[in-house]
Amino acid sequence: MSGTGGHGWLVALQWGFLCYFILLNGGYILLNLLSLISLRRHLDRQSLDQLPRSHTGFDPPISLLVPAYNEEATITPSLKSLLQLDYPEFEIVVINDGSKDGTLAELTREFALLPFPEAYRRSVPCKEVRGIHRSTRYPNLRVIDKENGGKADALNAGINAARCPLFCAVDADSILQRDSLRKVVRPFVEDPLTIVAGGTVRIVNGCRISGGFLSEVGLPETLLVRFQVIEYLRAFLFGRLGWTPLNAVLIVSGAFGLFKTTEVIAAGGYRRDTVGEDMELIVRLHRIHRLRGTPYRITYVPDPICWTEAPESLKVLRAQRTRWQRGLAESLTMNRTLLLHPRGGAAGWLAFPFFVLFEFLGPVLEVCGYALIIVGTALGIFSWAAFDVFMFVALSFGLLLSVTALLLEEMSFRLYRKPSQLAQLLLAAILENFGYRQLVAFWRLQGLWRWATGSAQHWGEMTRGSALRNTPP
Amino acid sequence: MTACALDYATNSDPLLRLALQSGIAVFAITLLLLAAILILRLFADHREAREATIRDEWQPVFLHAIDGLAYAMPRIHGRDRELILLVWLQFTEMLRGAARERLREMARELQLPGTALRLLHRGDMRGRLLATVGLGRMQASEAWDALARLMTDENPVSSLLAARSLLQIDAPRAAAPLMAAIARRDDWSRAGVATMLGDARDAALGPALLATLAASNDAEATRLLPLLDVVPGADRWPLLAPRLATEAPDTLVAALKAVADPRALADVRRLAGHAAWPVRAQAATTLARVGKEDDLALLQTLLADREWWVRYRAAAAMLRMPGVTREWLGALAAGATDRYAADMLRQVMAEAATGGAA
Repeated sequence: MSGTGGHGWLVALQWGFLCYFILLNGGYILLNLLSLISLRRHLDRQSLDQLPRSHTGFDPPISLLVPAYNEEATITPSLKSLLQLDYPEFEIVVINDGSKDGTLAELTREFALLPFPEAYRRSVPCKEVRGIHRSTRYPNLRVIDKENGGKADALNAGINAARCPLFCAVDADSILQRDSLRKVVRPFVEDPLTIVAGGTVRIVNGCRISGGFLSEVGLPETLLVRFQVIEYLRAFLFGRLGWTPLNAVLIVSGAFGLFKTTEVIAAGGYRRDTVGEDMELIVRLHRIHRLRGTPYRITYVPDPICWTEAPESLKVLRAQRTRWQRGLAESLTMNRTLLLHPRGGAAGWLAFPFFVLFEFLGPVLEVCGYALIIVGTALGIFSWAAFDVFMFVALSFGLLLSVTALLLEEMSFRLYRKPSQLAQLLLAAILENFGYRQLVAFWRLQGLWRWATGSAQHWGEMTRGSALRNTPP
Repeated sequence: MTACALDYATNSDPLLRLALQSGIAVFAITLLLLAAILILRLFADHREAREATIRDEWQPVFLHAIDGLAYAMPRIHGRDRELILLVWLQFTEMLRGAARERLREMARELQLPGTALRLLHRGDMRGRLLATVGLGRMQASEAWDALARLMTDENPVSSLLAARSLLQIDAPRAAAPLMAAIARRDDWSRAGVATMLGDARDAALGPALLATLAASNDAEATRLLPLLDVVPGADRWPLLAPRLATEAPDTLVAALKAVADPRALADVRRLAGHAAWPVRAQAATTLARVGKEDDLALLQTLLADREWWVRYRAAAAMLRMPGVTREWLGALAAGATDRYAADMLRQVMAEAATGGAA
């Protein structure tokens, strides 16, 4: 390419990509710095956490909402571990979302359920409730049996049945730390303005499980899941922690989050017409509070308190990532009035534009950028030197972000204690830049396409691996 | 900027050079961060090993001190004093009575108050928090002024910890300024405040609470009223009566929760018809405490309330009213023309039968 005359559009495009690239990485580096501040503040408090603490007697009661769809095989051990959580007062509300397998029969047998004449209250919309059952063994366990309506619908049914001022949405296949509730409730106890607290989710594959709880942190065997470990570190340690001091956290994982019940009811509960109901609710709560000018806080607890199973096959991972991207697109567009709204604050002026530019449009620009440089080089428009430099810069920034996440982890929780684990993570942080990240960007682009074309999205069937089963010592 | 400047075709392209240089810079930073991770790992391992050594050395000493046995002090390095303070606190927080007193004496012998004061003035946030808690547990009166200043700090965590320490050092002296601070600070954890006062259980707190409550506005009273249950010996009625006449729903709920006096009955009955449902729901619960048999009729009307929580609290209250039996409630549910009321009565009776309730 001569660069004169005929390729002016290409020049403009290159400049566009360059500016975008600088903005993207500059934004992430800023987020990293903010995360450092938040993490430092959090760790300062941890010196006091080492002191023995008794139950204060003033911890607010919590309703744990556990949506279950065809969970016959896993629901009993999941509930038994939830029942052992270290928290003074909580109830568990399982929502059997029209399971086609024997989930309800399993629950009835294992927990001695009996029909319960509950005056069901319908504060937020949900499908027909067929019956409410109560455990005769565990007075704090109830099961809502309802018509199938999806996860959001099931959560709404749970919210309607919840009796406590706070509710915690938990995936039936998640493993919680015994002290998870104690940690995630702290922002509510310390700051009366808190309406949501998200918890950090880590990947359980490769860890040892005993008695329904995590007993030893390990790394997954396959490189594919190790890449996801690095992604989770990035997503949680700076993707969310960085937004916390600005009160602009836009995502709280559906796997584990604590909400003020009245606030969610007032907001209308979970929307049932999106696959990203968890993110949509958070963005909506921001929108409602910012636009009304009511003080609130949506925060995030960096301690690793919830462990979830990551997909081990490309097929399942692809389904998950396309769904996440579609959910993100829906969440942002459904709450677009928050974007640059005069009363939007940091959520409307920083986080929302950031998500639109880098998370929503990111895959488009990333895939186009790669396609342009590859095709351009193949056609002789760009030199091989340019190709090498482009790839080198892209990979360097990718590596920088992954290594920063590892640094934050090393500065804080140091879960991966063995030197060999650290080495494996570093290797994964390097290798994920060669193919994996590009593949994920492509899947996300597919998710955007499905959102744009309105094609039907089905919940991906998660093939349960061995990660959640008890492992022998 | 000319198109030539963006030409990716040759190595002499300045933009290409710039990109390459930034790539190299980013890569170099990445390598530095990698080195930082390794160094951090080495430091952390070393620190943990040192901490383990100190714990091994000092735990038997603290255990001897708790039992009132003679002990030989290990040699103390200046850099270890913060960690020794932490280990000391871990023991102290678990103890009560004479054992805690013996550890307090030992802290004096170890000159830990001086260590904590230095940390309070010059330490990082972590050190300051540790020092604040430690000074309270050591009852270090020499730290009074510093802690009193810290209690006015805008950071809600450190200021509340300072308040707790002041209370531990000298509760009668701390009572009045503490109650004023509780009334003023809406950023202090209510659970933290209640726990702090509950742990202290000092007779000076009751009069201080009542005096502050008497001079408080509605917002302050909403924060103070729940403490009436925590602070012993406070005659609450003279102060509660005017609060039951206020317009602020939050204050009314807080006041109704504190009501245990039949003299409030007329107000409670009136508030059962309040426009705000949380007030109606709380009035129903309070009626179960102070109401009479005639109030069953009022509770029955609340069973038809449009808000689920009011119906639920009314049904639960009926179950606890004097003279009410399950059979009577069952008959009431069977004969109820209002389906919502009947459903709620059945639910509450089933809850009572299975031993669980919200």
